[in-house]
Amino acid sequence: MKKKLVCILTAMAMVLSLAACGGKEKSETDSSKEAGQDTLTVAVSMEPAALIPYESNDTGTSYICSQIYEKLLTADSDMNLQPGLAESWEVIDDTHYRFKLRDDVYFHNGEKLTADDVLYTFEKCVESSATSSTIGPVDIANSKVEDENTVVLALSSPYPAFLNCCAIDISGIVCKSAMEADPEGYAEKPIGTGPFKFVEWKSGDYIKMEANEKWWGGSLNFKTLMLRYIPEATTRAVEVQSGGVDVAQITVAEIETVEKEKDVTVLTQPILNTSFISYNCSVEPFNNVKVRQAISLAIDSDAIVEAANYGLAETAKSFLPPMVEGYYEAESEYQGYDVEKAKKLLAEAGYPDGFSCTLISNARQAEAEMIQAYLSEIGIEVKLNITDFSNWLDALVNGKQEMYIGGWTIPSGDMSEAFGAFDSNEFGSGGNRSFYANEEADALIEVINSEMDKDARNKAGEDLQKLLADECVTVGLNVGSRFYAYRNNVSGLVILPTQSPDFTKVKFTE
Amino acid sequence: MGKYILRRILMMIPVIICVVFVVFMILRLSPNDPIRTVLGDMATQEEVDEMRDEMGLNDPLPTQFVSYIGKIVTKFDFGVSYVNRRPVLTEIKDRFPITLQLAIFSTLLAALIGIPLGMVSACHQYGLLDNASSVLALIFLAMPEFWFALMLIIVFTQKLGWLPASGWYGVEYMILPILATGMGCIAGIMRTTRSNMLEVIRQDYIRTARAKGLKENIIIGKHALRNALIPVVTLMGMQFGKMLGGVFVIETIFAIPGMGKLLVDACSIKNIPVVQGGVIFIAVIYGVVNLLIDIIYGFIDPRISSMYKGKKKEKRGEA
Repeated sequence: MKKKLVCILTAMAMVLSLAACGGKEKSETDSSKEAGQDTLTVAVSMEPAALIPYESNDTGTSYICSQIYEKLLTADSDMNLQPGLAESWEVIDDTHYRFKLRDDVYFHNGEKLTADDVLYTFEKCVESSATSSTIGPVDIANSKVEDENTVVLALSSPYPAFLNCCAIDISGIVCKSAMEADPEGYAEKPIGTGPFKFVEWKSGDYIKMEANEKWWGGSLNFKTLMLRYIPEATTRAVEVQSGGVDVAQITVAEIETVEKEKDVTVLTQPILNTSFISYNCSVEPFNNVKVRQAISLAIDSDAIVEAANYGLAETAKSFLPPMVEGYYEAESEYQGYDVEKAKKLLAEAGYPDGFSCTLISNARQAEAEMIQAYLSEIGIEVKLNITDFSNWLDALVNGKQEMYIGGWTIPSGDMSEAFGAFDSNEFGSGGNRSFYANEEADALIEVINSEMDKDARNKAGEDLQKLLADECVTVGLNVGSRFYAYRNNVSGLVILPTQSPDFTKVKFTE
Repeated sequence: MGKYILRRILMMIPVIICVVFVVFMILRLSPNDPIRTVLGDMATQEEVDEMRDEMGLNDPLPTQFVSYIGKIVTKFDFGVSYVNRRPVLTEIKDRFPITLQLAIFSTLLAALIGIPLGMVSACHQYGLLDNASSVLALIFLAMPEFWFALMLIIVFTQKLGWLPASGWYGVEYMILPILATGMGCIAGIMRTTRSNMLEVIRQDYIRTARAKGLKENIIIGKHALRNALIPVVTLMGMQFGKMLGGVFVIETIFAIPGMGKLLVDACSIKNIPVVQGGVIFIAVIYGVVNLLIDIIYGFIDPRISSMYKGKKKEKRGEA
């Protein structure tokens, strides 16, 4: 009897274990191994939150959606706009844009792309809380379909960044009829017009796609795209070194090790992102410009960026990333590293002995500790609160922070998307987490947001960047970069400044 | 024994309700807003409020709690993930089998190595093998799990190229994670087996067995081991239960899509339905594992089964 029970329990354990064995998964990866050159396996760090472009604005979602869906326009590696699903476009006036669609585009379900799909997608973008603030003031009621391949999109007010918004991944065009017929099914098995067709998403593990043989852009050089979710950066680096994956997102910390591998090449792509130190400018002592100027002079940004990024990143000299049109490196006497001048300014501000404050940051421990050390030199005692994204965001949106380390990404590549961070009408959730209020800045931001004349707009951008440099609302840390390691038998890999990859030109060489 | 099992099952119910209540309250009373995190940093306050309404987060806490329990009891509905809108139960169903495999194989590995090593060490106390295995056990106990896992990857994947570093697609993928998870347990099991074995082989009944001329392997393997294993079973059960909650560090390093990874990801963005569902599930599983250990006890420890037999006889006598 006892032996029987032991046998039964053992058998149960084995059966459970075998039942748990995903035979399907095994075949998936085995097939990728066997397929060899037919499968591109990419190790990525984050999963998507959704498979529909307008449902989420997180990087993971954009990454996947950029493979499945396409936009009216695309931005190339230099952020110049190129035709996408729209073969041409015309600015009718400040608030009306006409797009002429390609005639040879079909969704993955075989349906032809029409202007109705475009209008429907923009309507969804406007309705979605994740994308409405990014897509611009699109006026659906006054937009219209002129014919099967022509759509006119109307805006409720002039918006110079609108064409850029037509190239952001969140505006990927969805198939109206399929979405209306089965929205839940669509969310699980998305349908786009892009170079890759969705096959399967195994949560926490991988997303599998296959080449779209009917893609209007031509045929691809491989059949299957496997995006494997590997959260640990070291593991991703080892996988690409050992040939477990063909391409891997890596972090700056792995570069030196990976570069030693003769069969692997590292690709560095600057992205539309900058990191910075800032404050809640509505509370003491940070509402005092001299305090901010003192802090700016007390911190050696170049040294922090050098140390924290292994010498592989450049220091942000503006709130804008360098590749954004309107970028301007303003000269200011409050830039650079000058401890004595910083102490003097702090004394003038009424804090000769310094003060205490808290710095909140999501990760970035090394930078935070260095900032703490620099500021102790001028008598400012900084307590560190290194926390998770959720707590960090909650603090910033609700103005609970004193000092913080932040980052800003501009997917559209237009400066208007950045300067909301200093608009007094946009406190907290609007984007102004520094709670900075300045009438002159507001007026310049208004020009940037609505002026259609490029020169006048760029002049306003320049003036604003000068003002922000003198006001020391932020202290620049690094310009963002993405690092990829790929096997030497892979060629044609392109990573765009938006962080989305372009795998369409990838081919395997001997 | 049947009544004992039934009583233990019934005892699990208040424990699970307590777990649900505590997890529910902690998540609801923690200061930041999960909806803000889910909707992204640019969502307006109106949009956040709208989604809070949609999710029922603006209702009074007792209403939320009763509604949550009600859905579980009536529809077995644990809600949907805030992030990808998948049912929590589907997420758990996808992840738990993987963690279960990892836990089973790691526990088996630890038992198959730890128990014989502990036995041999006890039988040859202060011998070369005993000293060597004690030192090894100490090293494994002191070694951080994540460091050992990374060392395994560096040696077996990067340097030798024998085994893959990530995934869970077949036997070759399982070896490193199972080794990394099992190593810490091996040390514990080996030391527990050794110390209990040393205690047992000094007992009078073992001396009697030897005096009767029984073979040493029968004395050790049959009479001594059975009693020495009782605390080891407890330890193995506890470790197994802990593993079923997900071995977060190992799952992260080896990119194993298991329960641990699911829960930590969910915690980091306050994905309340997934955290609640996952913790309740783990609480139930832990309770079941403990129950199974107690049942196994009854079979390996004659004193427990005889207690019940004794009670039965008493009842028959009363009748």
